[in-house]
Order: sequence, then structure tokens, then C-alpha cells
Amino acid sequence: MKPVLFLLLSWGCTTSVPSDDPSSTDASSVESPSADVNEELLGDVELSEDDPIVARRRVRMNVAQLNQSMQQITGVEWKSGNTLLWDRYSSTLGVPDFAERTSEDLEGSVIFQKFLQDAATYTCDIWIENESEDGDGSFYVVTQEEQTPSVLKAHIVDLRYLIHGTSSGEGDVFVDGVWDLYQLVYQRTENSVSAWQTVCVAMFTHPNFYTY
Amino acid sequence: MNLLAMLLFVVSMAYAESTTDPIVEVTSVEFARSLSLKLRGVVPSKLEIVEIETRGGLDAELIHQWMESDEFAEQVVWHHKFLFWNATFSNNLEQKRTLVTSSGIYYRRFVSQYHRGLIRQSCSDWENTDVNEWNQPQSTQTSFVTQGGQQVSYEDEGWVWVTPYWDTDSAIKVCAFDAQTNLYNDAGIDCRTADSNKVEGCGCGPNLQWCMNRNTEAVYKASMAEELSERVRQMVDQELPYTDLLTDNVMYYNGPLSFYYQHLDPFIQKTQAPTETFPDLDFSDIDTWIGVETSALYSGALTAPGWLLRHQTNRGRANRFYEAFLCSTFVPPAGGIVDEGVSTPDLSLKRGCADCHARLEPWRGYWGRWAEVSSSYVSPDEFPSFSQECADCAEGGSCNNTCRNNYMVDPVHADDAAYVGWYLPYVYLKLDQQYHPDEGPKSWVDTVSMDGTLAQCVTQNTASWLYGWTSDEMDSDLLAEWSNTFENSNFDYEKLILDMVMHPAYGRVQ
Repeated sequence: MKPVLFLLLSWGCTTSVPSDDPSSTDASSVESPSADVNEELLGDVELSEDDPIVARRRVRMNVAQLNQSMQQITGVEWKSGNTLLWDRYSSTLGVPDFAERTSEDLEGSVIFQKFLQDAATYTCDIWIENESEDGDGSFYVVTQEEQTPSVLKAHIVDLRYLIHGTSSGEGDVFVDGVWDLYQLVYQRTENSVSAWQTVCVAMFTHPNFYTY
Repeated sequence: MNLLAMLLFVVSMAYAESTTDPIVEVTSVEFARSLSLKLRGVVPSKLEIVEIETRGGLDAELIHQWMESDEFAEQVVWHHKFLFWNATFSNNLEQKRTLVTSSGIYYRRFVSQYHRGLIRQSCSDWENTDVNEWNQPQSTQTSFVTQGGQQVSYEDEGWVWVTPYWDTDSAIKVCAFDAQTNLYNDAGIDCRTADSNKVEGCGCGPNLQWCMNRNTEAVYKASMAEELSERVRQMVDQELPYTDLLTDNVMYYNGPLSFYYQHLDPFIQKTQAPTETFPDLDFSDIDTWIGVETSALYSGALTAPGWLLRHQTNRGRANRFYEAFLCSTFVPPAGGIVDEGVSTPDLSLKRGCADCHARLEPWRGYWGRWAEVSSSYVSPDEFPSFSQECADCAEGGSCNNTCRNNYMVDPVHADDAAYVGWYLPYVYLKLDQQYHPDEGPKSWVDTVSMDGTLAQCVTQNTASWLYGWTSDEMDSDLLAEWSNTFENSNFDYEKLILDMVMHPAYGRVQ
């Protein structure tokens, strides 16, 4: 229990949270304290084995957060004509109206997955289309034929950082998996747009995006 | 390719499942992402993430900046919707003031019998140019309609063009009787009061300002609900004590509400203007809000139209406050409520009911001066707490409607006897509770502010919002710590939030 206590005490000594460790490849690993943490030991305290470690609950984004965040990342609104589809489906997705429904459904239900998939597919299509027109951006779909695998892989890392807010280092299992997916789709379709669309949808439908 | 994406998704779900149960420390970017979603409703931008990493983490200064943003206020507003349940009033405000359309012509369906001699009958589609300066038809025709297989006649005045207040750029067709703008009818009835709701010769006034259509009615009702959210925004923006939300003497008006209370409210029994003066706003100023001081009788959100019309009975109002701000729930006994045959009508004494109502009845008394299914304050001048006249007529058995409808004049049980002649909201309140209607819900808020229960519940609600804890998962030591600090900071809500998110526990996720 002592290492845990040290971490608690050191956090309390600074106004900054621990900084990201670039060498980390696993979001679930405990990060080392940041450079501005006061590492001076404050003394030993005996802790009971029963002392609970308190943490917040990982929760699913609500519909408004999904809408805002996907727009923040891609600049694309999920809509049909002038209708915002997150709004249209809000009742189906369990957004309370505070008249007949007063609680919010934040389950990762099949219905939620279906609409998230729809939103991601639409958003990724437009996002990539916009970037193709610009010839620059996160996907590099226009010029990717001239890119090396390491450059393409770097774009996956960049996408993950953008969508999941997670830094990836060498040997990141997640990035390797997405790279395999990219290659698989590209080999079968010989279409980099399709490959990037698949990667993009996979990123948005992954719990690392929609939970926090 | 979506199938492949889905495959990856399923695999990653399994990956996520295996990693969500343990408690883990989050990285600074994950911390910032989580906090940004909670405090602003959106993930940080790429530039912000870079800045956060450059600064070595999300420091208090940046968190404070986020808490200064409009987005933060909206997150607090959203959280409070789960407490207030501010939804629009489901009932009609006043059907006799509501214009509906038939074949593109506006008319008031529920007053047509007074004008045309036939219920729910519109005028016919012809322009009446023979009207005077108040749109009063100088000539009409007799038209016929088939009802129940028979032809019946009605007085048909045709329509006139009117520019409505809700769309000053275009004119609409309005049946001439409903378009009248005269201040008095031939019988001398004031067309600007509710007395004109059921008479002929009065219309909707200049630019239809004494009426509404379905859309404007929806705007009024939505504004009343939104006014509760505006109170939350003001509390955040002005950094007011949390208790002000529940006790202050301010009513917030936007353009529609200011218009409503000036022009429509006099016709509508369910509402009453909370102030005598109104801000100078246009109907179209929906997003502009101005606070106006009310009398000391008002008690923040708890006497706001949005709250009173959403929670329509005094017991309902007390129950919602008990649940939302004292974090407690009335739970019926196991096996259900059993009437054991004790016939007292006093629910606070009746077996089976008393378990809840012994507490609920005194608390519903706090709203005793606020009419039910209404947002109107009922003054002691209008209805004194005790009426000797009603007490006297109760003995003789010949009471007028005022006494019969508002006072205890018909005792049916020995427990009623002590309350004969009392205004109904005071009935069954015990001696030490009879001040509740006079002091209003503010008195209850003061009590729970001082005994710590309000601070504890606000802290618990906020922990539920920020930490995702259910009531069973609350860490009692942390709650006590945060609650004490909150109370000692004069209910500084932003400080409470800051204390929670800066605590090491927020840097861990399970």
C-alpha cells in the first residue's frame, strides 16, 4: 500500500496532474509522477489493507458530448438536410425530456452502438472528403501512395491522439491492430479512402473515444 | 468495410471490458479529456492538448479558465435539469386566448359561440373590408354548416389582415371578431381582462397581443422552464452562493416572458406576474434575460413559474425538493400501504399514510400560499388564513362559493373540527407548522442550509455528476470533507467543483 500512499501524497503537493509519459503504450498503466511533482517523502503511515482507493467511474459520453466532440475533432455535423441527427434521435438514445423521462440512458446498448456507427460513418466520410479536397490533414489520402508505411502508421498514431486523446509509442498494440486493419482494407479494395474510412469509424466506435 | 470496423470494434470492446474494472491512474491528457467533457461538454482541441502537455498537465489556472466559460455554465445547467426537471408545462395556458388555424385563417375556437353563435366554428374565407378602426365588423353574413345531418346557421364575419406580434414582417388572415382591438365591448366589459374571455365584442387586441397561437404558447411555456436554467447560469456567472438559487427574490424575464406578463397574463388564471415592472424587451429577444426584483415572499427557483407549473401540487413540490435537494425518498412500507380503518382525513395521522405524510404534510404547507396547477401567489389579503365569515356559514350550512372552494366549511370528522373556517392550505397543519405557508419554501431552505443537510445533498449530487457515483458508491469520508468545505465557503459551488476535480481521486478511473 505504501506506493499508493506516496502517489496520493505527491499529488496533493502540486496543482498539476501527472503528465503524459510518451513511452507509455498502455493507457491502463499507472503513470509516473510529472516533473513538477514534489517527490519528497512525507513519512511513512501504516495503512490498513481495507483502505479503499477511491476513483471516479468510467462513464459513456452523453449525446450532447458525442455531438460536440465529433464536431470538435472533425468539423463535421451529423445531419440530414438541415436536421441534426443527434437531435432527431435524442429520444431514442435516451436523452431525457424531463417531462416523461427524467434520467439519462448512458448504457453502451446495441441501439447506441447502431447510431454511433451511423454517425461515425457519415462523419468520417465527410471529414475525409473535406481533407481530400484540401490535400492535407490527418489522413493524407491524396498523396498516400507515395508514403512509406512508417508515415502512414504515424498518421494512425496522430488520429488516435486526436480521437482518443491517447499518445502511442512504439509497439502500441492498438495502433498495430489498426495498421493491420488499414492494410487489410487497402489490399482488398486498393482504395485508400475506404481504408481510412474504416480506420476512422473504428476509432470513433471504440470505447476509448466514447467513454472517459 | 463497416463490417471490418465493427469486427475491430467488437474486439476492442472485449479489450476495454478487460481493462475497465481495475482502478487506474489516468495520464494528464486523459485527465484533461475527462475534465473537459465534464466541465465543457466537449473533448479538448488538438491545440489545447498540445498546450496542456507543454504546461506539464492541466493546472488549476487552466481549469479555472474552463470554469469561466459559457460552456461550463451550460454543463451546470444540464446537471440541474436532473434536479429541477424543468420541462414545459403540459396543460394549456388558456384555450380562450389561443388562435388556431382553419384553412389558413386564424380564429379562437373556444370563444366562437360568443361571436358566431356556434361552438368551434371559424369564419368563412372572405375578406371583410367593412370594419371600423378597431377591426369591428360593420356587416356580416349568415352562413350555414352541416352538423349531425342538419344545417345550422352562424354569424359569419369573414377575415381581416393583421400583422401579429410574433412575426411583424408578415400579415395573416384573422377572423374579424377575433381581430378586434377595442378596449371595451358594448356592455362595458374591459377587453384587456379575463372578464372578456367569455363575451362577445372583444378580440385579440392590437397585433393580436392579447392572444397566442400554438407556437407562441409553446415559446411562453418553454421560456418559463428555461427561466430555471437562467437562474443556474446567473448563479455560476455571478458566482452567487448556491443557496441563492433556492431563496433569492429575483424573476428573470426574456422577451417572450416580458411580453406574456404584460399583455397575456391578465387573461390567464394559471399565472400571475411575479413583479409589477417588466424589462423593456422585444418578443423576439428569446435569449436575452434580465432579472427583476420580486417581493420577499418569493423563494428562488422554488417559487418560479417553471417550478410551480412543472410540479403542480404542493405535495409534489415538497416531494421533489425532498428528493432533489435533500437526497431522500419517501418509501412505502414493505407490503404496501394498508388502510387500517382509522378514518381521520388528516394524512399526517392516518395509519399507513403517516409514515410519509407526517413529514410531507408540514412541508407541503410551505407552498400553501402558491396556488396548485398555477404559478400564482395567493395573498392573505385575498384569502386570509382564517375567515370568520366562512366559519360562521359552516355552522349554518349555507356558504358561498368562495368559502366552499377555499375554506374548511364541511367537517366530516372530529379531526376537522379544529380547522373550520381555515383556508384549506392551513388545514391539518399543527400549531408549530402554521407559519409554513406564510414564510414559504425559503423557510425550509434556511432550515436545511443551517443543519447541513442541503450542503450534504448538493455535494452528493455533484459527486454523482462528476464522479459518476451512484448513491451506494459514495465515499462518505470524502463527501463529508467536501460538504464541510462547501458549507464553510458560504455555499460556493465553483469551489465545491474545483475541490472535487482537483482531488487525487479524480485522477483515477474505474
